[in-house]
Amino acid sequence: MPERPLTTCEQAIAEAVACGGDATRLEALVAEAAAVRRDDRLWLRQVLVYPAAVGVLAILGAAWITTRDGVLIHDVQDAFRDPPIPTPRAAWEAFDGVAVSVAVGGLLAAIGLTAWLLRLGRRDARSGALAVRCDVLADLAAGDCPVAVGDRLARAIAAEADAAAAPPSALVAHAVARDDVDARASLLRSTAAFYRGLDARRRRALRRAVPTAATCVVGWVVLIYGIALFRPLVGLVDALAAPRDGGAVRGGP
Amino acid sequence: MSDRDVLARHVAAAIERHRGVAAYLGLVAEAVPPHERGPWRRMAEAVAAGDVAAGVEAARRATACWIPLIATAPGDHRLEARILQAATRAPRGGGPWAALGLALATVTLTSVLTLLFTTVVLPVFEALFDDFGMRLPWLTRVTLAVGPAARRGWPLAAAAMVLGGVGWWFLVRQAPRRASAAADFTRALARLVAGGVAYDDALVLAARVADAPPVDPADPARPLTYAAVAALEAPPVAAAVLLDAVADCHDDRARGGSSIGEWFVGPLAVATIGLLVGLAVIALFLPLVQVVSSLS
Repeated sequence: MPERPLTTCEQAIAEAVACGGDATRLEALVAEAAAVRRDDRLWLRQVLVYPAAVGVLAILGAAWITTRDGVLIHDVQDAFRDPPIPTPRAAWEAFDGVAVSVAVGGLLAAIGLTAWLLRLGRRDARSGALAVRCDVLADLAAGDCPVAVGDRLARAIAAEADAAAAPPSALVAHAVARDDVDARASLLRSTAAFYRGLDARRRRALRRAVPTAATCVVGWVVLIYGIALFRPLVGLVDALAAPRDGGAVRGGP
Repeated sequence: MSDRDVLARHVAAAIERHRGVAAYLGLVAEAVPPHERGPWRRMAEAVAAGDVAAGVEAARRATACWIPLIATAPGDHRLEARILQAATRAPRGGGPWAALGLALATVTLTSVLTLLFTTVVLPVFEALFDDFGMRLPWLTRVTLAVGPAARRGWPLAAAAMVLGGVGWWFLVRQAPRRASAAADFTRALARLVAGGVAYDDALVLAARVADAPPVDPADPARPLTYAAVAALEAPPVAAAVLLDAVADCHDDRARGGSSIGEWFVGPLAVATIGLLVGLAVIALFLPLVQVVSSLS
């Protein structure tokens, strides 16, 4: 059975071990970062599936009611005319100002919420990968690995956590520039804890904001569904009420 | 000596001791989220320039950022690690508008929706049902009665909402009894005691960190707890360890509190609003069904 070729990360870990790194610890760092990413994706799927299902049903319901019930109710209105003759019908359903305002407002609010969430998600998005990189650097610094080699290996290993881990961080550069090995390793571990804290805060903020935002968007879509449900019915009753005021309506109440 | 004098004295000493750390503070300012950069930048500028007045003003607005500098002796290599530790927590005291933001947003949204419902939706249905002169179900009569009541009593409702917003602001901004405030206070106290700051001064500075009024160990009131007072009776090194443990307990409680808020208050609010909306929909839909049934 042919051997599986090593990934870039595995090669980097092998080199790091040859350079004095601790294989178990490095593999645990990578595995932990992967577990966090998996957990985030699973949580996002779980939290969005219900609002997405309700939203899609509401949109389908609104579209169905608008396209079908409008025609049916138009026919019913024609049937109540005296004599019952068909009236010209617009090719497209005409919407009043309130319906258009609600729909446009909802769309703008949804776009705004999405933009805000994207901004929140992208902020400090590199922190997790930078934390892994700092931890790897600290591990290699303790093993007397040359700084340049350690930096290359740390970038390769951290890239497994986030491909965008390559951009430099001034804090990491400052810590790496320390001459004293112990002080360098200690500051790198503190820097890793700092970035890990930022990442945890970002994830906590997202976990608070995403369900609320999704609920707001779905609430607005359901509101549009409600308006679509009421509009034709109100129009019908309104149209039937008008001739009743003027006199008798055949077949009416 | 007033609280401000205590702060000024310690900030002046910190700037004198740690002029060399200004560049690192600038790096930290660039690394934290954009909305948290202000306190760190002001601190870096004050330390770099040796400007005590600017430093005191910066420390008055965000005392937590200054605790590592105040509590660390010159030449102590742990200073940078402590700065990073302080920067990991979101600074308290983001200004009065930060606490008011959520209350304002909630009040505005609720007001706009109520206004739309009572001035646009309800009059349409009211006129429609009047045309038919039909006897309406009691649920519909109650719902329709909300419109005129809201139109007549909107100044009272607006005043109530403004009062509610101010009350919310007061609770969020002023209440020093919350677990997170106690955690911040006790953690800052631990750092200051470990750094050799006199207990009286440490209490004043820690109270500023937690945005709390001055505390008195003889009559402890949150954020100063009896556990913290008991810890202060030990020698400084042991007191710092004990205070850290007490702060950990408060942190755990704060996390538990926010979890309950997340899993209970949110769904409860959604269920309540859903129930109210559902009742309104049923109330307005029932007569329409009656009308269509009688017409057909």
